[in-house]
Amino acid sequence: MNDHVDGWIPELVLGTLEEPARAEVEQHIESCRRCAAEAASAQEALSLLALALPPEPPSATARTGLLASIVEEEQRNGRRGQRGRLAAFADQVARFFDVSRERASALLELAVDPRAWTPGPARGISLIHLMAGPQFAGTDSGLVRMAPGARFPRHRHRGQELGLILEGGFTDADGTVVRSGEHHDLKAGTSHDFVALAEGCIFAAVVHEGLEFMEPITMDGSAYD
Amino acid sequence: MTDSMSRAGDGSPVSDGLTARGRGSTMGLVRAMEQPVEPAFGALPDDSDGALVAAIAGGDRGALARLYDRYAPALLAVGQRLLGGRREAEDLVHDVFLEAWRQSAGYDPARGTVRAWLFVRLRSRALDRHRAASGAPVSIESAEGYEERMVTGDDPALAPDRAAVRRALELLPSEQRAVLELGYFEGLSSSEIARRTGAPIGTVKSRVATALATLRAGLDPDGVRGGAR
Repeated sequence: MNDHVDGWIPELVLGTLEEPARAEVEQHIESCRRCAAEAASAQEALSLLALALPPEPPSATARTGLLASIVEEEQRNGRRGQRGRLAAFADQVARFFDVSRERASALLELAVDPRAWTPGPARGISLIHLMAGPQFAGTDSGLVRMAPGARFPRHRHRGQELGLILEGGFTDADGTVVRSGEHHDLKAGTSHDFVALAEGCIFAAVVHEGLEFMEPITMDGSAYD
Repeated sequence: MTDSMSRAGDGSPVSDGLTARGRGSTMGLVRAMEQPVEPAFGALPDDSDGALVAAIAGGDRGALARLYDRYAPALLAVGQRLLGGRREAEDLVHDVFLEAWRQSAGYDPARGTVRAWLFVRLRSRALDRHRAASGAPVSIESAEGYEERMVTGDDPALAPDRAAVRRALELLPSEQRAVLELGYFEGLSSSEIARRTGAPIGTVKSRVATALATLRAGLDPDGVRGGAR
């Protein structure tokens, strides 16, 4: 096809053009700079059309999933030699969340990147939500980071909560100090608050059935760093 | 219930997890969208789409997170309309951003904006899946719905373009808006649109052409540049 394809471009970019015309028009555009520019310009207008729909914010786990996939890919390609200070926990974290070792390793590398975290339920607390494996389907799972001395607001566990401390530690309401490498599980129906040690804390958590906060929580968007 | 409890989590002390779900969590998420933890919006000298892609090409994951926070809500909205399900749409958006990450070094601004690149990828992948799952039921919402929809929790950099496209759509007669909507958001072909609307296919084709021309004219290039380019 040597003639320009202006008449077909609206349908082409809108995606309504059917075969065999579509293949012919696409082929012409491959080799015709003028028509390619026209199609690109029409495409710009159409991509604005997308902004007429009300936005649908993706879930926090979807965002983590994307970032973790990228880190996994980098690790596979050897683009990152340094895997971060939490890398030694990869096997434990894989078992803890019922995910692959690759995914766990990626999460741990993400965890040392401040930009991966989103604000948590109180000042000095931030979170990385993630989709845990089949064993923990339906739970709220992720990493929790607490600034030095930050307090996690008092709450009741509606179901069991599993915890694994990855860095630093915290002092629980009953005075127990829990440190890096230790598990800290809490039964359904129990309640507590806890305070991060002077070095701060990062822990992995799997929360069944959710928490009931027993004091005002301040979604103030704060996070340390 | 104590007074302080009643104030927790927007009037309900009940949470489904690490953060309060329901209104509380939505707010938390939206705030996270509006204010990435680090760096805060405005902290970068240039957070235009082009600058973000250049940073992504240099291996900057944070820049990809920024681009995701800016466009994932709009991409997800389109993906959901095309595919019907939120889960499938989230997977699709995930794939588009992975592709953006991998191909960022080859991005050529002369060939189009980052935004067009993202939406073209999303739609072509969605339409592939859509056509593979032939006859997937699609619901048509009236084009009148556009005016009533509230836009919240969105990257403010997109606000001028959102306003511009709504103004441009208002200029379109309803039958022209309908062909754009059925094509762009429902993924129908011209003959499917003809069957759906009862108009002859020639009429559909000319309506598509006229609608797109009117849309482009309404989107005055100087007025639509927006903050995000």
